[in-house]
Amino acid sequence: MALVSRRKNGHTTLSLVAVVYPCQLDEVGRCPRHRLPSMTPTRHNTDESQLIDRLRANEPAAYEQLVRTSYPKLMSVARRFMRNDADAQDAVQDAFVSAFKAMPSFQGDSLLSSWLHTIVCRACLMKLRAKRRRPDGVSIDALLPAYHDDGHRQHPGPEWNESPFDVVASEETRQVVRQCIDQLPEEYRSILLLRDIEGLSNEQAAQMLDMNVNSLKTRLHRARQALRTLLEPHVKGTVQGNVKGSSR
Amino acid sequence: MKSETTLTCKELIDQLDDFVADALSPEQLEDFRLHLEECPDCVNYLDSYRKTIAAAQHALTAMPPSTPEASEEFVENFMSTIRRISTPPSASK
Repeated sequence: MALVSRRKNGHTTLSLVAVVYPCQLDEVGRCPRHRLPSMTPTRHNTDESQLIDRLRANEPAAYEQLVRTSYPKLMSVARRFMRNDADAQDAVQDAFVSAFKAMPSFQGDSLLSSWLHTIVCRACLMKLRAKRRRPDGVSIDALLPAYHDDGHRQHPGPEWNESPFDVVASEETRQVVRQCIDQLPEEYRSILLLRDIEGLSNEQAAQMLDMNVNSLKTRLHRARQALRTLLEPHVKGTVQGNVKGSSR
Repeated sequence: MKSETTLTCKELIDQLDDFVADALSPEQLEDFRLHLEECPDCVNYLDSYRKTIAAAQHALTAMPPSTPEASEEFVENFMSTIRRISTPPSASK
């Protein structure tokens, strides 16, 4: 549901309309936001069922097959979390080892790919926690909107109608977005990745980060607002704007 | 921007995450509508908030490709690791 504003004869009218945002499809035509373990049918095809049986039997060839077939997808996930391919590869290696150790407890109530997705996310979070990449990074508070005493926003900034951050963006623009995401403090960046990119639910992400759901929701909202502030200087017409936080 | 509704910009923006998740009640949605009708700044903020989420999704799901396949060294490291950590039943005692 979205509120759509229309101007007519000097008056603004708003109406609630259903909006369907296009999914970002992966290489097999699924949206990352819609392939959650809880939302995914747990029907394993014959090949996957046979592979799971062989994995449970500790068959080395099955593990080799798992690594070779799952590596590209897990590496894609890990590269979103980690800063370089070497760290991403370490996280994927850890994830496969974790999968090997946990295989006896894999109940088969989710697809193998969904299970591995959760495991690699967890492996990345553990690595990031261990690295303590930027313990005192940018203050999130400096990137949040400022308000007047009456609750109205200071420094509204430009409209984003001319935003370059469309779905059809250039690689250069996407690089800018990735750099802005990387400026977020890690605890906020991780939540943004888990929820908005990897498609975990609030409950799944909260469980993975060992925090309660309300705290996670608050941090997600703050992460999005902070990222919005970081992106704003790149929106057309912002150069002369007085965007809070743009003078960092 | 002043609004005749009881909702301030801050109160509206604080609930944007619930709004984009379709988690607001009809009463809350009506408050949103009344505020946004009179507050173009918040309309813009809502629009930019949505675009921020979409931009993050697109930027990270369309990353340039890396190594498409696991290297032989990667596979061998993994296989040797699991050989090391797996203990055959006959060797457990």
